[in-house]
Parts: sequence; C-alpha cells; structure tokens
Amino acid sequence: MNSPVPVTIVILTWNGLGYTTRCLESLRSRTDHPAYEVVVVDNASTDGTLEYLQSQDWIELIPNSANLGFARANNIALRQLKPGHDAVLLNNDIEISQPDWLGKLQAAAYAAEDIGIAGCRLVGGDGLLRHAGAYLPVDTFWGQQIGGEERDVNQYNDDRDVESVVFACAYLKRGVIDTVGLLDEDYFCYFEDTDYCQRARAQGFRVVCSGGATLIHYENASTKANRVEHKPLFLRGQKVFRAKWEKKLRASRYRYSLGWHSILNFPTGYAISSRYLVSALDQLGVRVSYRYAYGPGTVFPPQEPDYSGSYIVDLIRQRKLERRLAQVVYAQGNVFQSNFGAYKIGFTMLETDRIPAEWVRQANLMDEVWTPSSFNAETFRLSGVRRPIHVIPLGVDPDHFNPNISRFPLTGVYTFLSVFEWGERKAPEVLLRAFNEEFRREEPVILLVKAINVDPAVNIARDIADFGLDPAGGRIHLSENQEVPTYQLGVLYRSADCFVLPTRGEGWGMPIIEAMACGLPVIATSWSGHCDFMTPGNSYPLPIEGLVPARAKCPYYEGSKWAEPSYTHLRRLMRHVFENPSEARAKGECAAREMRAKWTWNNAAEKIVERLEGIRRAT
Amino acid sequence: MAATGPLPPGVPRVFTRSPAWIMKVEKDLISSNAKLVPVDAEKLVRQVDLRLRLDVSEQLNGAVTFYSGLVHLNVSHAGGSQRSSAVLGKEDEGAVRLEGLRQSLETDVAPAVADLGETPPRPATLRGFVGALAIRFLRPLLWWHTRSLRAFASSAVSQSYQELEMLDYLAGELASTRKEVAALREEVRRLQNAVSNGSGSAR
Repeated sequence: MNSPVPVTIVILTWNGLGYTTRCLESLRSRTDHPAYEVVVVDNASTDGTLEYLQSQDWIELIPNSANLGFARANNIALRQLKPGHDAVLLNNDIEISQPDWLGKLQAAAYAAEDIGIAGCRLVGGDGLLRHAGAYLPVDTFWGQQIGGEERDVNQYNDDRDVESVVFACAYLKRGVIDTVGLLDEDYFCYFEDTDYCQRARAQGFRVVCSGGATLIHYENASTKANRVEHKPLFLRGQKVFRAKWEKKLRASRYRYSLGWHSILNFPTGYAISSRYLVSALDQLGVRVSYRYAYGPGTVFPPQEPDYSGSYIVDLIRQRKLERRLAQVVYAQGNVFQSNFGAYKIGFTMLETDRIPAEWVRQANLMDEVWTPSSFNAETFRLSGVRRPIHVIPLGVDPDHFNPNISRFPLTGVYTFLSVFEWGERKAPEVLLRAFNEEFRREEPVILLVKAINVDPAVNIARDIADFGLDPAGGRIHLSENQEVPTYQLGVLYRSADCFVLPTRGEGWGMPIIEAMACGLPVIATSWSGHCDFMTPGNSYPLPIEGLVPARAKCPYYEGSKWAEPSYTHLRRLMRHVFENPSEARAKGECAAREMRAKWTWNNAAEKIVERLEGIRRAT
Repeated sequence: MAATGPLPPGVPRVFTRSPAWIMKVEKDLISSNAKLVPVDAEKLVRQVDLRLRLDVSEQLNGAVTFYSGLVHLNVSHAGGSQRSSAVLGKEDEGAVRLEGLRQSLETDVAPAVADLGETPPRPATLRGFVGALAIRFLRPLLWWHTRSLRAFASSAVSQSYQELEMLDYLAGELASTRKEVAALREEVRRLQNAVSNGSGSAR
C-alpha cells in the first residue's frame, strides 16, 4: 500500500459516558494512522454523553432520538460512508493502547485481495485475552471467542483466518460493504457480527484476526451502563441467527464423522495431544464424537473429570459414539480392543525399540494402526504388528508456541532450559552432571530445569545429592512441581536461549517440538520419535552410545531397549552452543519456520482427513 | 508417551489431596502427596532471576538451587538460612521479604482454601465418634455454606496475589528510582567537585 486507504471509524454510544470519554481520548491521542476520521452515532444517551460528544469538534456526531440498537445505528453511519473509505466499527468500551493499531489492522485486511473483514486481539482490563477471533459450534449456536481468558502472553500474534470476529472492533473493507451490504437489522444487538461474517464468507470473502493489533475491551459496557440484562438480548439475537442460519450451517459444517476413544481431561500427554487433535479435526470439518478409553482394569480412573476448559472439547465429549463410524482409539495399545467401530483404528506410540506383546495382539485386531513417527512405524513392524501402519504425526500449537510469544530473559546469563518429568527416561543424571562438569560456576551460564515429580518414592533432592555435583561447577536452577499452564509454556521456552533434553526415548517429544516452534536451538538425543521433525539442519542432534535395556517404573518397557545419550557429546554440544550463540539462534529460527510450516496440529489433522478420505474410498 | 505430563488449562492443579479414586487406581503414578503448584511462567523465570541477582552479591554454595512448590529462598524464617537480612542491601532485603510473603501465601494461605469444609481429624473417643457421625450427617446439608466460604476465601487469596503483584511492581519502581537518585547524587557531587576545583567545564 503506498498511501493508506482512508478509514471512517464508527463508534456507537448509548450512555456510558466514562467509557466513551476514555475511548475517544485514547483514540485521538494514541492513533498514529494518517487518514482516519471518526463518526459517533448516539442512541439517545441521557447521561451527558450527548453533550460531551457535541463538545468534540473533531468527530462527526449522528444523534438518534431513540435507541435503535447496534445494527440499525451502525448502518446509519455506514450508509453515509464517504467514497473510497473503509469502515472500522469500534465499541465505545474500547481503549486504544497501541499507536499503530489501525495500521496493523488495515495491513491485515489488505494482506490479500479476498480478505473482507479483519478483527484484532482484544484484552480485558484485567489483562486476560478475551478475543482472537470467534467460532460458532453448530451443536449449541453459542458463539465462542477464541482466547480462553488466558493471561495475555502475546499468543495468537499472527494474522489468522477465523470463522468470525466480534464487531467490538472490525475493519470492513469497502469491497465487502459494497458486496455484502449493511448489517442485518433483524438483529437488535448481538449476533449481527456473526451473521455478517457468515454472509461475507458465503460471498467468498475471508475473515481474519490481526495478531499485530491489540486493544483493551471492557466488554458489555452499554448493557452495564444501562443496567440491561445481557442474557435476554443475547438469546434474542441467537434466535434470529438460528432461524436464518441453522439449517445451512448444520448441513455444511461437517464433511466427515469420526469416533474418538481417548482421554481428554487428565494431566497426561495423551490427553493434551488428544484435545489439540479433536479441536483441529473439528475445524477441518470432522465431526468427532468421543468415548473415554480408560476405566476399570486400566491405569486410569473409571471416569474422567467433566470439564476441559475448552468449550469445543466439552461439546465433543458430550457427543455419543456411534457404531457405524470409523473409530480411533488414541491411547496406550492395551486398550485398543475397546474399539467397536465399523472401521477400527488404533493410534499409539511408545518410546522404546519394541512394543509389548499385548499391544501387538490388540493392534492386530484393528483394521489399521496409526502412529506419530516413522520410528514407531518401524518398531511396531519389528514387534509383530501385521496390520497396515500409517504415520499420522502429532503437532505443535503455533498460536502459543512461536518466536513472538512474550519473554523474560534472565539477567546476564545464557540459559539452557530443560522441561521434563523426573525419571530414568529423561536421563536427568546425564544432563545435570554434563552441565555441571562442562561449565564453571563463574561462567555466565545456567541450566534451568523444570521438573515434575509425582512419584512419592522419588526424592529429587536426594537423587541430585547422589549425582555428586561440584559446587564450583555449572550452576543449576531446578523448579520442582511448579506447574506452568500449558498455554504459558511458550513464555518459558522464549525466556531461555537453548533447550536441552538428553532423553533416552520419545514417542513424539512434545517439549522438543514446542521449544523448536518457539525458535530455540535444541539439543536432544538423536533417537526415537522426534527425529522425524528434528534434523541436523534445524537442531543439534545428540549422538547415542548405543541401545541399552529400558529400566524404569513402567510396565510397558519389559524386555525393551532405549538409547543411551552420549555424555561426552552432550558436554561438547552445550559448550558449542554457548560459544556460538549466533549460529544457534539461526538454527532456532530455522526450526521455528519449519515447525510452523509442517508440524502444526492443523497439519496433523489434515493427515487424518486425508486418511479418512482414503478409508471412505476403500470402503 | 508417559502416562503423566503437564496439566492442561482448566484442570485443577493443586493436588494437595488427590481424590480417593486416583489414589486407588493410580497410586504408583499419581502420589497422594504430590503437590503441583500453579505458577505463571513469568513468575517462574523471575524467581530465578531474583535468585541470580542475589547470588551475585553473595556467593552461595551448592551447584543446584531448588524452587519447590513456589519459591524457595534460603532466608532465615524458612530455616537453613545461609544469610541474614543484615548482609543484604535494602533492595535485596525488600525482595527477600516479598518472596517470603509470596511463599507464605503459596504454602500456607492458598492451600488452606482446600481445607475449608473438610472434616477435622476424629479423636479416638466416644465423643469423637459421635461428633464424627454428626458431622457426616450435617456436612452435606451445609454444602451452600462451604461453597460460599470457599468462594470468599478464593477471592481473598486472589486479592492477596494482586496486592503482592502490586508490591512487586512498586518495589521494582522504588529500586529504579533509588538508582536514579544515586546517579544524580553522584553527578551533583562531581559537579560540586568540579566547581570547587575551579574547573572551567563541568563536562
């Protein structure tokens, strides 16, 4: 864009003088866009708002004699939009905190010809993220704002396609207004924005959420200021929307159905990845129904907790599994036999060189077997799995794990970070000894370990005492059982300089891929599942000494082997990275690009969809 | 993939008392004593940063510094002190006290919320037996009371965290103001010297 397209910002007021004053003052003093003007439509305020607006000679005021509602009042301003102007609809309970917000929003809208509408990140006055786009589950038609009230750590910082955005702040390109028309005045307030986005998408326009623009949104100011109950208005809008869209959306929302036996609401790696997978599948048009895979006779309790914290995951949990569907059991291989689908798929992984005989037996009862890595495809075959094996990778969440997540680097030290559950598989003794021996206390470098230990028989401090570390050696800081919310782990990675994990084996290696997605150079053992995404070009693979018997408190390892990481090479690699930070940073940047391009949950879900298509054709 | 891992958002994270069914079925994997304390990533990093800054002024022994639960500082009130507040600068002393407050909030106050409405230990007496029976009967009837108490206590704890955040912030501001004042004092002293020494130029 050479000279920016002029923008008319339309603000609707209905009392709430305090909010309006803050909105306009911040807009005027903090917006650095060179070509915008402001039109305020007042819906018959009685609290002094009108008088205040009349005193502001830099805005154009359109006073209404009654409260016309959101859609009608905004349409008055949109009808008067000057030729060549785009429009931004802005709520009066928004506060501008970022001078280039409008430029960023406009850039997102003009990133491609077919983008029609752009929204932005909205953060509450309490610093929690309220909006980074929105979606509407057709099970309930209860619109959901993406953001989950997470603490703002600059997640969702990229411009992304979304189903809709809330019109608390929405950039409408002239083209979309000319093609789609005005807001539907059947809505008094609420749902007109979802409706408009649906109409725009039906006309071939894309809706995006700008990750570069963030505004403060105090939410529902008008209903609060006027002491109006929010829920009846919301339900009224929902009713209009359902009448208009329910049939169409229900018919077009899903292309595939899939039964999913797994675990969602326990603190396990399977559960976390399962949540990501079912959510990504839902976005790709796969209607997933669910059944808890564990229970009596397994290592997990008979029931799992009801709530996941994610609306869509909770909805999926409530859908009943049907026998006629293709069904996947995504869990340890000894619960595959619970699969009762028309087409049976077992999806699992293990970090050793073979899988238990019972897993093999149950895998051979399936129509096909999925596993996330070529490593496990091989170990499954070698263990005796005779059914077709397909590699369906897991992934990483690029919205929460990327190089633009907030960081809090440690003062004056190079920081190696390791994140793991304390136990033999992660070789903590190798890591701590190698670091402590390689570095001296006075060197500006530390190893920060975030360890979880839930085994009462294990005492980390006692274990470490047995390592015989040298007080004059490299400094280690160990956080034990301090649980960082998953969505904030990116902050931890980003605050470090290098991630290191001399693991003895990984089914997938979630912390490794998360660190790589955050742009960290990674040193990790060159063996097992993560080698599919971790290469010498994007990381520092740690050679192994060889395979050794897998000895740990896990019933699945009996008779199996895993890798012994090379102690000498680990020391050498850590020293190399410390002394060559620019080279390491470049590797990290390369890793981040590759993870985003090839290894996201969306990529994983696409592979599943591809496979479902293959199954559909074959059956 | 191991059977345990980081907690997803939305799952209760303080396992001060694991539910009985977890203890029964998964006692080897999830300990009844395991205590996962939720902490923001920023706080986790900042506690290490603070410790690193303190380490610079005092060469503490030991290769490994632990942060168990939330914050572990070897300050006197926590036992095993390796320094006293007397040897700390004013900024450090403030930081240590703040961390002490935070620690006490994390380890004493916040976990106590989970105990609200819980049955007290039963003494091995007839009175204890009768009392326990009565409590067993009454407790379900008081669900509304327990819930409101817990809600109040949770909000009080949350408020305390916010106050602590604010204190943290103010302490940071104070520290930077102190630095600025010290730098200005130094500049004034230098200028005074320059003037009294008859130097033609202050710079």
